[in-house]
Amino acid sequence: MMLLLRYLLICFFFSLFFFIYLSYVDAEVKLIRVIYPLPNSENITKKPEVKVEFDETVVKETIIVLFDGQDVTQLISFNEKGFEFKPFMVVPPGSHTLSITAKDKEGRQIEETVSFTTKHSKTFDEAWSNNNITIAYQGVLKKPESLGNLPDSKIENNLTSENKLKNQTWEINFSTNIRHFDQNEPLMPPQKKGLDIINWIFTGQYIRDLFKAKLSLGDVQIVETPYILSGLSRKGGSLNFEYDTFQLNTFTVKSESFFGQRGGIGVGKSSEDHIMGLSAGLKLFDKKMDIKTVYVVGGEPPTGFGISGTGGNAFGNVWGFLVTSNFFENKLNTDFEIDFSKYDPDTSDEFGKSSDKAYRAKIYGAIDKYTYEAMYEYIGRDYQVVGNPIQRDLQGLSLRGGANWIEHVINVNLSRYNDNVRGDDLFPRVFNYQGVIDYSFNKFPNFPIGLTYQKSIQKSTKEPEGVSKIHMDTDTLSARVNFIKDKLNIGFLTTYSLMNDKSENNADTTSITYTLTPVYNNEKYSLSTSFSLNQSKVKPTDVRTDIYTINADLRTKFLDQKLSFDIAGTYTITKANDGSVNTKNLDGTVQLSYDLAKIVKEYMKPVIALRATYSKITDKVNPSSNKDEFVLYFVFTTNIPFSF
Amino acid sequence: MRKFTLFFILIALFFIQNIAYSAITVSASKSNIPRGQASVVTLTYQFTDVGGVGAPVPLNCYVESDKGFFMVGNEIIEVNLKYLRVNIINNYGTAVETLNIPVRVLERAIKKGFNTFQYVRTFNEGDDSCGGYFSPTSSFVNFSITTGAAADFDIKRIELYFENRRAEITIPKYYEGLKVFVDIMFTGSGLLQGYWEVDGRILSYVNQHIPYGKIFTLQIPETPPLPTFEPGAHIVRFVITRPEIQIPIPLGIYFVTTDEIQRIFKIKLYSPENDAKLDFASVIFEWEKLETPFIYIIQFFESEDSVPIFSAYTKNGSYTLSEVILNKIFQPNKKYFWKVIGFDSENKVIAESEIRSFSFTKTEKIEGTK
Repeated sequence: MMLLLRYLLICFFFSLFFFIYLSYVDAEVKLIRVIYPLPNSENITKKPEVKVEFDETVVKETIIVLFDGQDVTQLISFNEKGFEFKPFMVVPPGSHTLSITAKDKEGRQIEETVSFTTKHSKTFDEAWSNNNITIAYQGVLKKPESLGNLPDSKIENNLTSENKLKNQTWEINFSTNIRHFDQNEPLMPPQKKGLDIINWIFTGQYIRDLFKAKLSLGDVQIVETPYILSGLSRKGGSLNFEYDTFQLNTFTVKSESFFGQRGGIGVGKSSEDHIMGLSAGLKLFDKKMDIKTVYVVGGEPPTGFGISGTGGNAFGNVWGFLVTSNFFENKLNTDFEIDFSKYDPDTSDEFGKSSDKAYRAKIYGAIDKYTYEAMYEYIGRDYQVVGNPIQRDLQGLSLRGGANWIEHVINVNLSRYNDNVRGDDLFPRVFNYQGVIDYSFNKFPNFPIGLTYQKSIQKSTKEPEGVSKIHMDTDTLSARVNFIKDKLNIGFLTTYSLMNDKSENNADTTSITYTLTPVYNNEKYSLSTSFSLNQSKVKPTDVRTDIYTINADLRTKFLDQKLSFDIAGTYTITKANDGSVNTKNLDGTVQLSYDLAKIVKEYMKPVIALRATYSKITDKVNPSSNKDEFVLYFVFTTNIPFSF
Repeated sequence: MRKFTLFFILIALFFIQNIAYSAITVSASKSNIPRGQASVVTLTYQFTDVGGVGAPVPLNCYVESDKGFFMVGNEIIEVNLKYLRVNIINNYGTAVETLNIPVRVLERAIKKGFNTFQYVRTFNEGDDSCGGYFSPTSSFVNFSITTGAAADFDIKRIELYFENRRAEITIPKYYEGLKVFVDIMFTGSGLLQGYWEVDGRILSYVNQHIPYGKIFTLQIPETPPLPTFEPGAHIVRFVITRPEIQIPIPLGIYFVTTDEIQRIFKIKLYSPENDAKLDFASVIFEWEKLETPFIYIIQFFESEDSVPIFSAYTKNGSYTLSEVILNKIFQPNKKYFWKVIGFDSENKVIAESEIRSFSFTKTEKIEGTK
């Protein structure tokens, strides 16, 4: 009986304890109440509003609000019942946490955490379209007769559009620049009058568990290996698949580089004017080793937009392997590549494709403050790849080492290369030995100093009969120093370089450069200037040429940021000691613009401006080149951003 | 016999004056050509004393050549059908020919076991305009085929691109630090001279020795910057003045929109000092409060290049790291980094500070530490 009573008593006290405890917990929960967003709720919004109420026993001053781990306490707005908060920026879709901590009047810590998710629209987790229309009109108010073909008026309009749709498993992105251009005079190619799609890229991506697929169309960039394609930017398409550790990529791009939409979308199956490829990769040993194989085929012209070269239309293919590893947390990385190419530099002649190979073995890494790299490479005489210009007929070894002791940083490079890798008797073999040492002294953050010395020796061997020897030494020494104080940065760089031709030609050249760059930036204006002297001397003619250059770039804003005054100009003096050159050039642009945004409609952001350009050439050797031209323009620009 | 000899000499002199006085000298911009690559060479033909003393008056006429021949020994390996006409004024004339040497010419010569070849042109009087005083005359230029390193200093390929790896880019107004690169593929070694130019205005000159090796990449200097205050299209080029090149200079186009980018101002950090050793307790971080920024975010990192471990928004020029946050996120005896970023009212970044480090030294845990 006593035992039963004791048991009941224990049960009673336990129950009492739990009742008191639960009452306390209940009371604590009620001290801070998250009204919105509701716990575990799904919210269709880009900036979820937060509404919180708290009990009057909560000490307002002790409240700390963390939104996704970021302290936003100072952005909350208190009201009678609690506080409200709206995120400063668009919140990415997905899971979020709101955590509130505070103390009550008795000094007890109170905490409330709510988790919720957001989506940007009912259908999509993320959906947005950011667009911006630029309209720029320029009319000539005054121009000299010598500039008769300068357009009296021109208008340049541009639509920049960036769009995104995202769901749990897939994502679509599209961005473009569409331009309209018109003026009353012919336009210099490659630009053209009228409407043109300057660039665009569409990407569609699907991810589910370990599977990932990505389609890219438009202005794509293809990166495979350093010897195959190391950054080919063209119009075309690529398709990538990934499953766990396996990757498969395929692409086709127009081989000629175009401005605008003249090249079409770039996707095609003709290897004459396209570059196409396939690559497969596998990650092994917990992704510490990558194996990749690549095949590329195609033809290309020697020139295009942004590219100028010699020769005819080329055609070729290449097949390569790349193995990289990183087993020791970047302390020891390895990189091996071997590629086999067939290439015809000119498809119009009777000579077909030549076969050759290239390979590279590299180890590199970083241990504490030290970095190192050792590489041997061989690039065959006839090794070439469409879309990837590379200096061929080269073999050699390079070594790099570096140490970073914060205050002292030193880097050393040594290399030995030679050409004529096949040892052809018709040609000499030229060896190139090069060493570079670079030292930086950073003890004084306001006064960093650096020195670089480079020595290069070129010597030929096995010259065939009638071929002169080559022996050329090049020494380059440069020193740099900066003075940095607050918003002022004054840099000084000087370089002395001598190419000593020790062959019978004795065609030595010397170059000396001094550059001073004072730059000042603050909230209201920035001034960027440079003063430089470039001296060069050619020994065979004994002609020394001095070029003095003064540059100024000023930007200012005043009148509550409404008035802007911008200047960009260059003054150069070029003189040769034999009197063959003696010119002085002054070129500059000045613009005074007024922002009408606050007067008209802010969302259109109209700006009116007066712009003047001035160009003066004084040529004492050839006075017929002299000119003195002043042009005054009226400029109207507006900017219409719209998003949804 | 004497009379016969004199007659022979006179006849010979007649021919010599007609031939020898029609002298042609040819200079080539380069003569050592790399194998396996097409080359473009400028040939300058100088005609002197055309007609010589045989002509009754100084000649004003023209001579022409309808084709040129690439020759190895006595064998023609390629014909260049480019017509060349030279105006002779007062017995003198000059002509410039841009000669394309295709790869096949080099390969044909090598296949025959030669590492040299000749380019030959024969000039004739055009339409009898010189009155018969110009005899057919040939010019000869010798070329050597060699390796890329031993060839004359020459530019073979130029590719210009912006930071997006294309020759066009669209940027907002007042964009800073626009980068332009030029990849130069070359043969031989020498002094590269040129200048960066935007809309015809020279920005900066380049003098640089480039010994033969890999592709040479040049980047436009940071100062002076490319102008970005004028909305519209701008054309940027790297113009090479030495060596003399025959291929066109490629151009890049950057378009400045009217969407104005805010310049990134520097925020000066006040306290704590860099590398400060702090007690593991509530601490105030202070910085310069600028006029424009609407909101600041202070970010804390475990290393300079890692993602923030904690951040906080504020409208003031300071932030107090409370003990609650301190105990949740930070640890004593550990080094951290911090920096401040300022946003305008349109959520655009307009100011940024340097990055500073600090560490909490006190090991004793304060009350409430987990």
